[in-house]
Amino acid sequence: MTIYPFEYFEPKELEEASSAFFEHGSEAAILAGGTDLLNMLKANILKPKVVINIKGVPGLSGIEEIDGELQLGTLTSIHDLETSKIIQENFPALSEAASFLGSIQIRFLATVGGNICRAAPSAETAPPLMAYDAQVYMYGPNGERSLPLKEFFSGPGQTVLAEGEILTKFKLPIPALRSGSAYLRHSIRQLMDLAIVNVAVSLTLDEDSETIKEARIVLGAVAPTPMHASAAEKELIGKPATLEIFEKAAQTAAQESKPISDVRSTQDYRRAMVQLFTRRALEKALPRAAQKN
Amino acid sequence: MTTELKVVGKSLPRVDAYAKVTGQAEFTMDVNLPGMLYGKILRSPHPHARIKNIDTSEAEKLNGVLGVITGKDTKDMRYAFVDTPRYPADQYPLAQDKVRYIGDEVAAVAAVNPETAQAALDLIKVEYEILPAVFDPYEAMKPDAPTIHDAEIQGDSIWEEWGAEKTKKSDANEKVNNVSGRTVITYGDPDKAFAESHHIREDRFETAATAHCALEPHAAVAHYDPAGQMHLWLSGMGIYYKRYVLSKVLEMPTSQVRLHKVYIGGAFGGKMDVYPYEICAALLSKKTGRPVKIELTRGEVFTTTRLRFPTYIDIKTGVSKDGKILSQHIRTVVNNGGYRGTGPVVIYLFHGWTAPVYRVKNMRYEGISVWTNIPVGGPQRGHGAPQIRFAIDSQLDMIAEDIGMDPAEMMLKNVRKIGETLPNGDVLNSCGLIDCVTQAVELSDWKEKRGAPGSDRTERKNGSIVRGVGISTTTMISGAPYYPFASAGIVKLHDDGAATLISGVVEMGQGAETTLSQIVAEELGISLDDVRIVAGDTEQSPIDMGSFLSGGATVTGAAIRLAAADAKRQLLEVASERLDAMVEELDISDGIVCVRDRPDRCMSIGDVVNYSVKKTGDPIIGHGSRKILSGTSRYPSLAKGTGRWTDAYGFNAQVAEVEVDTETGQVKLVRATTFHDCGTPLNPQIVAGQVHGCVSTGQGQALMEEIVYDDGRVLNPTFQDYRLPITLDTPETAGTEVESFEPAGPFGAKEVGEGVVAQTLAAIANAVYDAVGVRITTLPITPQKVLAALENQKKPPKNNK
Repeated sequence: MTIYPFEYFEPKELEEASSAFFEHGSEAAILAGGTDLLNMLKANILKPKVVINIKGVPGLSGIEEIDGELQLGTLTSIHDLETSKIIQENFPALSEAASFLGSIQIRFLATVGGNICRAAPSAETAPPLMAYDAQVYMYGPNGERSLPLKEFFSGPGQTVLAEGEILTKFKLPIPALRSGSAYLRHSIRQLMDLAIVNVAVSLTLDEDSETIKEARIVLGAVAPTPMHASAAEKELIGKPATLEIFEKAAQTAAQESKPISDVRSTQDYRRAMVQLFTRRALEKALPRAAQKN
Repeated sequence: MTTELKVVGKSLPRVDAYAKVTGQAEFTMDVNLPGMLYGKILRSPHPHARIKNIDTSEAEKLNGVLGVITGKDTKDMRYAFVDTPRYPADQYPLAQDKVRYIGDEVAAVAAVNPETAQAALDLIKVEYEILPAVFDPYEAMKPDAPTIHDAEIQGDSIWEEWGAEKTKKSDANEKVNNVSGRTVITYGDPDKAFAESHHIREDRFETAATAHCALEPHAAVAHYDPAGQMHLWLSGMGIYYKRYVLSKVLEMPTSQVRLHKVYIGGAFGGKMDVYPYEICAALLSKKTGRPVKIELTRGEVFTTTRLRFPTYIDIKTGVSKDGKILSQHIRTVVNNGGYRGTGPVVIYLFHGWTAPVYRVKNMRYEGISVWTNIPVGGPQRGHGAPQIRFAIDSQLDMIAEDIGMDPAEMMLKNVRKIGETLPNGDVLNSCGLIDCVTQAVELSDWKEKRGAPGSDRTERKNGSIVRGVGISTTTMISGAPYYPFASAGIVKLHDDGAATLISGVVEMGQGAETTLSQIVAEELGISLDDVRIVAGDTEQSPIDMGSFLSGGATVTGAAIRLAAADAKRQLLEVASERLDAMVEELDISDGIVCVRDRPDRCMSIGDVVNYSVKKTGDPIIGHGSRKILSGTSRYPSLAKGTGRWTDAYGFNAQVAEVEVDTETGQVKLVRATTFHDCGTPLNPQIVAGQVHGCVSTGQGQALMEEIVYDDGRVLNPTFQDYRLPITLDTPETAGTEVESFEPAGPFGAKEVGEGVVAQTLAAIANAVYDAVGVRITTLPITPQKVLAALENQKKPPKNNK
């Protein structure tokens, strides 16, 4: 519980934050919600020389619909994701995932950008954001760039952010008609627990309202980074949305997953749960897709 | 009991509520003294190693470091909770020659702030010779396993000072490597009774190490004042026990060690023992001349302040055709880790929680505690009861199925009744077991939910969810002989009619300050608002048993009732003179003393006190005391289980209703119906709080809590990875206390708050079996285990077709 001393900055502009971050490189840590950072400082997992608080930088938070896309500022709180009407209506899996993160107190403080930059394999918001094809925007010494979120994670706790780069926002296309999505997670406790497995799925049906046109299955906690079950997704496309097809895709997703055994669960159990929760999530998403036409 | 109670038995608000909700209640970590230093402990990173050299010179040179101590400063200091001629103390405040588990204390530092103390620890160089380590008790008992305590410990034990025989009785059993304690208890003729049994079963059960998880991490503040007194503020459960041990270790007269009052943020058994960090804080204060505070981190609390003993239990039981238990052979092995902790006690207690519940006339019980290189075991809410009751009542459920009997019916055939005498001589002057079982069965709709023995379960299925019910029973003592073997109380009256209770009790959330104040108010005939309490300070308070053997209500409560009665007697003697009536003619009600049926001849308690002071100078101070087991002078034998050890037993029965998800293997406790016999509930709301807390602890230990080790290293020393149930997980609770009156306790009260943990485990395990036909005998009942067992169940039997 001994936090090592550090220098503390509160930049007022994004550029100022980025250059401070660039200047101190790996010796600096970004503070947003602080709900992960503070724990790591107290446990001496991180011993940064400099902490840069970006909460005072304008324009980094908020939920807005712009030109058929949802824009999420990096500092948007998890509680706002959970309770936003736009998100509940159009991106229900994201709102559901947000409701599982930490406690109510944590959800008020924690930010969506922080949850993603922490890059935990079990990160609550990563599977739904990936299932909604989120594009992530970064600002750094070379200006702005963007990537699909699925290319953002490079390992447990690791991202492709370059020195001085700060995640600024996400953009998510508003789902097409006849789209439905769901998020499920399996944990020992009902809340205040890390997922053994978490799954987000989104389905878009053809005009016949039966054939699957688009499918996304994203798995968390069963690989070094949150992952698309790509083979399972391919299996669904062009098929009728039936329980048999879902079960088969769920089996494929389980095979694709790369779980490990650790103090929270075993490899075999996690794989079995990928199958179960993929099937359950698809079954939950389907009626939502059927309603949206 | 014909007089109506006015204060006792009422759910009155807690007397410490105001201080706690306003944040004024002082806990150890709130104690800040001028010039205070901060201490930290250097701990062993190895499970078993010899210390070849410790170099503290760099740490001592660091700016801001004022004191560094190692085993050299604590030579000849040896202590332990178990310190008897047979089992001499095996612990040292700081490691002498060896370290015996990961976390064992090696050195301590005091510095001007925690950061400097931490930095100083990093500068201490310890040269270790790593020794082979052993983690499994059965491995440890093999002749070629590394011997963890290699030298025979010499010297006197504290029990000799307390009157135990000085001669060390030799252990008749052959010496086995790393065995730290052994209990063998036999009565009746088990072999003959097995031969006469209609049905015999043998089963094995295993339980996990679990943690107490008190919200307040352990902390100590020590201040050695130059006049020679050691002032201490400690996270503890009994001030007089800690004072005694600390005075021995520090080689100071007992009265020169003063424990000051602090509130305790939960203990659950984990704050009973004296710990090295407390001794180090005292030594560092003596060395530096400044107050020293040591606060353990959550990780240190998880690994170095005792865990529930991982236990292996083999039970063989023989029953008659009609379900009576005829004979039982129980063998237990506990892993007590690097030091004994309470290993030799818990193996005695396993039998202690067996004998009072079912009437078993033929018994052979063998318990063994074993040193290994994992963290140390110690008392934890129920101290052995959860393990043994899980095993006994799981097996009872299995036997009931074997012989086609309802398990609740089988329990009723075997439970003890009021008036019975146990094999050790304890008498059940109150025992509501029959009522507990029958009322739990009734309120839980047991018969309808359980169905007839052997009935089809598939119709209960709702999607992937199946419900089931299970039942279990348990018991708990109301105090046991341990230093100081008695409690005392002082009640002084004020000239406005109020009273102050002075007690050595420690308020750690259990509500003792409130229930004891209620006893005083009831006895004196005043309201609870007119009672104040001064407690938990060795300089101010008389002796107290401490709050760690569940004797608070019965022993301390009885002492305090006697103190109040003594004050009342003096008060009435004065009043009788003033009111010109016989003492026997006087009544006190609502703070007014009246001649019976003469409302015109009354005076307030305050006026009586005033009159007394004016006349003789006596302000009226009552005192009372109660010895545990009055009338007995012998102590029970840990090795043989002989001798009385408590005045009264509390009892419980619980029906657990669970939902099992057959696709995930996850078990949810939906409803816990608990009936308990705590005699007269002193404060029903506090009793209910204790029961709810116990159910939640039992639920956690049944379903999710487990300390996970890898070669002696705890892998989950955090609340993230050591999972306790949260409020959302806790079940609907039902049930209440059964009618009962314990003659030994004040107003008929006895234990509640510790025993109820124990029966939740088997109740849940039996409910899981009832739901899905899967028997889990290794705790906790994780989703993985249930799912794997369900998969096995699907496989066709080998001899099929």
